[in-house]
Amino acid sequence: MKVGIISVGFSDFYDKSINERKTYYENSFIATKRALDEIGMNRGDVDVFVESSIDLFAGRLISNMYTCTAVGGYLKDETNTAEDSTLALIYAYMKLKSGLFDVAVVNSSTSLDVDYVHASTTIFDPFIYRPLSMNYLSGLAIQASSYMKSFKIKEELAAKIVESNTENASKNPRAFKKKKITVSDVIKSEYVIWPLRELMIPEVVSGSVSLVIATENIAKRYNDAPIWIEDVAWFSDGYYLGSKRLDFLTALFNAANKVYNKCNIMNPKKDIDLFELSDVTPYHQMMIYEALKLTELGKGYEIINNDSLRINLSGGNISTYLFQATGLFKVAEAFLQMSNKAGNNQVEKAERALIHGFTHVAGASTQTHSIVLLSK
Amino acid sequence: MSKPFEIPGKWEIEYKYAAGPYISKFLEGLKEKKIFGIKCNSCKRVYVPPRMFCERCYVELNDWVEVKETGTLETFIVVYRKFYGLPDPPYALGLIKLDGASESFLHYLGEVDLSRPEKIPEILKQGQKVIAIWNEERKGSILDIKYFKPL
Repeated sequence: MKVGIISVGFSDFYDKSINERKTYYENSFIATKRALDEIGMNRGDVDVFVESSIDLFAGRLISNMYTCTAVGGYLKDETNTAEDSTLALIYAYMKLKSGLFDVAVVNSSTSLDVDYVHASTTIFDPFIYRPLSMNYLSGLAIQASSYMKSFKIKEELAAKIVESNTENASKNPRAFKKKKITVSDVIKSEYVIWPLRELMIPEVVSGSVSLVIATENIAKRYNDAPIWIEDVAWFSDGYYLGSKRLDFLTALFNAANKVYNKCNIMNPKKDIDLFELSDVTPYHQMMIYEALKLTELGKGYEIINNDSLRINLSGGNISTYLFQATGLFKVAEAFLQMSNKAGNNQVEKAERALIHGFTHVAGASTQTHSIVLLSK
Repeated sequence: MSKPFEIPGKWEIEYKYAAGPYISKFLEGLKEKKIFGIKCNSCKRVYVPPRMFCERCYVELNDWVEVKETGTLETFIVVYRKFYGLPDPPYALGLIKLDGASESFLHYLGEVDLSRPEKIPEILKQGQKVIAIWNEERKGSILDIKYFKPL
């Protein structure tokens, strides 16, 4: 029995320059209502609701107490995951695959109610890493530094990735930041945490994304051409930065192997048309290429985004960074491309897409990576 | 419609985190200028800080070892941005493989000139030998070591 995506919805996205902010659950309502209205569905038709929100950043314990009803889950089967939202999609997918349910709404929202870097100091253990002033950016910087040193990567190569992602964003009508950032802009920007410069670090924006997924027969009633979830996988690494490999994303490599083996993907560059990857930093994007076996170890810089290898048509995290909602945004972007509804940045032949989800909080310790493989 | 409110808020919640027997012994050791690690007799890794179990072999660990206060710098970062609640920049953090350990240990790096970011690759180097500088007053905290300095 297949499970497919039949609709997507977005709230408006905004940054700190907008004072008239909505609450994260109001944005969840807007995104979900748009996704349901698009296919003429109402909440009574939905069996299962899964959200992704992180209590600390929402500023409320059990943050889904509010999103539960905002997504339509009043007196329904509803749950939340405090992970990147690709995992919320994966949990909803598994519920449908179990045969117990037919339709699910998946939602994630990001607010700007808190300074994410400040709040992220609480990710770390209170005995060793927290007293050493760690935050999620320093965790990412340690991995970037390790990767640079291991493979002698010059920062211009990382800057090229920022340029490529933002060039894609300039064509994507749904990207929040549409301004192209050049290699020179990146290199001129200040170091925030060496080796990460200001323009290598995505800035969190607020907004919400919802998907509606359904089992095969129901899906076809609402959408002539559902986009099928072909496979999913996720793996978690250990916590301590000093006890694992930092210049290679082992958890993602394992997830890729699982998906490639199951789906008979021998050459991912040829067998997959679109890649939406979580560029938490450009150095991570190079590591992601290597873990996904798009190139050899230490050769991530060789990958060039072009018509034969389409990477981050969405514009990447650097352009639209919805923190834990980023994964669903990328899935929704792939859905629109594959449904021929992307608009200005529509590409031809978008039959199969791989979306990489990076759990941004656990990602401070490069811990959890997930993959969703979509096909027509 | 009037402009929506923005209501300020802050969580101030007190915790008394149980450190557990492994971290407690490690922190006690620091008071005496001793750095304890723990060895997995299955994979032979020596973990610093010590922990109850080897995550790879999934066995309980009980073989305590004392590692040296010297080690090798493996990875480093330098913070140049002031972050709320964190020290004034610049400051450096490094992952250090202490002599006698197989896994790396995070700590501050000190007595290095961080004033010019473009010079960092010349000042800090992978493979550099470092040594712990201890606080005079030690109270059982990771900060009983002030920092590691290049040898």
